[in-house]
Amino acid sequence: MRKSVFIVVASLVSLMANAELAVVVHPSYADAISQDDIAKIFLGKAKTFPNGSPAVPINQEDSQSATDEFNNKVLGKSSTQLKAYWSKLVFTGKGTPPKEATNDAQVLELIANNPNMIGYLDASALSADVKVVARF
Amino acid sequence: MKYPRLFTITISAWGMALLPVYAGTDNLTFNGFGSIVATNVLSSDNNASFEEYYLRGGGCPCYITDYYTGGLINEDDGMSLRYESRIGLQLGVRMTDELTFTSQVVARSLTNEFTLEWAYLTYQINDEWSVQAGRKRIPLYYFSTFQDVGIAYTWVRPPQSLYGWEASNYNGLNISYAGNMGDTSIQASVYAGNETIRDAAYNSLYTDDPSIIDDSRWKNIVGFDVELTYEWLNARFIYLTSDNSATDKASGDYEFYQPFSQQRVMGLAINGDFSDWFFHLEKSQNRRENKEDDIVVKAPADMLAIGYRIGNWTPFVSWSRYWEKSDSPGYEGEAERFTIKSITLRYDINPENALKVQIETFDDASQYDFVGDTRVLSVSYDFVF
Repeated sequence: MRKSVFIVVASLVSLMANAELAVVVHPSYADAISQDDIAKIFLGKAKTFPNGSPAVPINQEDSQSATDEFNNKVLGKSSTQLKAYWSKLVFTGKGTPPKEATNDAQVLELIANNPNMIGYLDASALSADVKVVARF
Repeated sequence: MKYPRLFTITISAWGMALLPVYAGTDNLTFNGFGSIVATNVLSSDNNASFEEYYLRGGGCPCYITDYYTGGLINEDDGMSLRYESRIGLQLGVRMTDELTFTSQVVARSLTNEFTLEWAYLTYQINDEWSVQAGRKRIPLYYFSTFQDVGIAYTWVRPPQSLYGWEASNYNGLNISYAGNMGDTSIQASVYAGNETIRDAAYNSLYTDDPSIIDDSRWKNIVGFDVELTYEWLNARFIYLTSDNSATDKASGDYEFYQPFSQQRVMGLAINGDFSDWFFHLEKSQNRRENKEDDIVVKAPADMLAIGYRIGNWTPFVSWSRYWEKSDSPGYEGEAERFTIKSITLRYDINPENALKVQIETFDDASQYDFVGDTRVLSVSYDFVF
């Protein structure tokens, strides 16, 4: 009994740690996007996709597991570092953080309906309405 | 512990906080930040060469918490929340896709009033270029524009060796660029404007009669800043010139003194961030010249700070110095020369809330009577909302 509980807990933990993250755009977007491009868009350093079309990044709320995952894996910053980064920009008038979706489902809905948006979500929640440009 | 004024400020802040009721649309944004800071001079030494301190009528040895706000604390004040606690509220209004208005007010427990720090219009020409007009912070050194936003840096306060000035804002115009060249991000701006500070708090430090406080003026401010970021490396170069003058009310002179002194500031900041280790290196040179009276005062300043992030904890050490010297007849010597060493431990409760404890040693090696040596303990709670 104790052993099986351990296995369940251990596999849950490894499942969480290995949750695959997908960065998604509208299906009409045709070009490649590198991790560096994604980071620049989400840090407010680039306002367009590599092909020149306007890019609107969509974050998820802090409470979502995908958010931490994305911040660490793709932006290389902890949520705390990111808050300090945006505080500096917001209060010096140099930028505003991306808008936040409440969960994976809302990201899917937004991206599927907006050719300029880019977002991220847990790969297990993917649907055919969006196009995956990167997995982490 | 003293709790003056903070309470009333909190009340007025909450009054302002009702604004988001109206800020429910996409065209209005409302943000805020604050720091509650307890400052305590643990020990102080009368420098042997000093006979009499002239700062604010002789209340020294003492510690200057912020030149701009004129905060001056000594051992007798005990642990006090009064000197550096503050709250800031920012409102952004998007009028059209290209035109926005931003204003920020900051209330400080030291002055017990809201002051308008920012109020400007931004016109976004395209993705890279924008023009701003109105009241802004002078983008002087790396931390200057967000010096009030404690959550955005590791010290309890950026060292006054570099971050202590009589002026911190200006009314004027700037043109800004933000873009990329290959993998390097570039931010740059050129700006011009003026600033007059009535009863400048800075001057309240240097008076022997606290009832008479001179006005300060930075006229014809012209400057630029360029900031490059490439992977872990961030470098920023600044240049500013202005015509500085002050009144001399004690002599019955309420007009700004003529001739003004021409100020020239150059600065270089290099920041490295390796995710766990990070450092700030900054160097500046301030030169003030009164051509008519043939006086030149040079003031170099240097700073090095290194930190290491371990989960939510960030231990951080910092060294900095300021050195003001002149060879001009009548002004020979080193009027102010000091070193600030500090150790800080920051704990992030969550991304919006942080606690910091800082121990700081201020070594005064000025030629004339200045502030003396102090050891200062500061504890702060910093937040954003």
